[in-house]
Amino acid sequence: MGRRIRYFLAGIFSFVVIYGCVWLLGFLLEKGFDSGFKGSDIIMVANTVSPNHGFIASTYVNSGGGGAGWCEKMVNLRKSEEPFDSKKRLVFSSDCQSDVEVIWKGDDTAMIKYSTDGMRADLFQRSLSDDKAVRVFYQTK
Amino acid sequence: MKRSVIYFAAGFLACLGSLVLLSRVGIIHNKLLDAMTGYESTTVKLVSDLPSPNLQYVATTNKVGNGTGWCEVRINVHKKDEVFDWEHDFVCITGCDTKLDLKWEDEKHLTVSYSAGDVAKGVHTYQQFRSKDSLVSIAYLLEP
Repeated sequence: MGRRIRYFLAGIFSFVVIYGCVWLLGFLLEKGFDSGFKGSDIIMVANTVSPNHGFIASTYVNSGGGGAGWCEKMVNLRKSEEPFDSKKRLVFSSDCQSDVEVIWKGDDTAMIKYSTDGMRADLFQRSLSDDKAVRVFYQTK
Repeated sequence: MKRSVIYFAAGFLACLGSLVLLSRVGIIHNKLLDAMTGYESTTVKLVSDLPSPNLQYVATTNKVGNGTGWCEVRINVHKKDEVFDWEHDFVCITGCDTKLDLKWEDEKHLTVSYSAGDVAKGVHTYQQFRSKDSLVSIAYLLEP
């Protein structure tokens, strides 16, 4: 009877060990990828201020991850007194090769013109700023 | 010897069974088990088939997703009766909350109008401007 229980417990233990090893391996791999892609480089391309100087649209390049990483051209739209933060107030993103231009059509209206390669585009677009004070329109170049 | 193997296997399977059971009833979430048991299997649901004016082409909209919450809409433009692979053949990908409106302007021009389901969140789209055979031109229009 005691032996049977011991073999039974050994089976349970073996499963727990195997499962634990697989889980640990996955966890370590995930952490490794995370740290590899963590850092990003931000290069400012242009700052375009609204006519009344109330808002500012910053066009910048966000890249990272090395050869297999990412590269995007982004537009951040915020109040002029607010400091730039690449993780906030995003209204537009496209691939790096895209030519992006912000034109203010008024104090509360911005136009983002962007180019594509004519084959495809990967876009993120918002029609309003975070505080809903600025309307954003889009046009391809 | 044989009996010891049976008891060992019973213990192993009892533990595996408990884990599968707990995962299936939602008490624990286990990606590995989900993948093994097919819980993550993808479903494809036809949303619409829109034929071109001369009926030579069809713009097919599919909604794809799985039990983990992943959901996206894929549009494909293909010749009538042509079989296509939803996973690899597409001209547009966007989220399931994106509002879409497809319109054939003529036999060779399709317009995809789109807008964010939630204006505050914005909309993400992958766009291709030509069909796989390059004969159909596709325009994209973000609705305000």
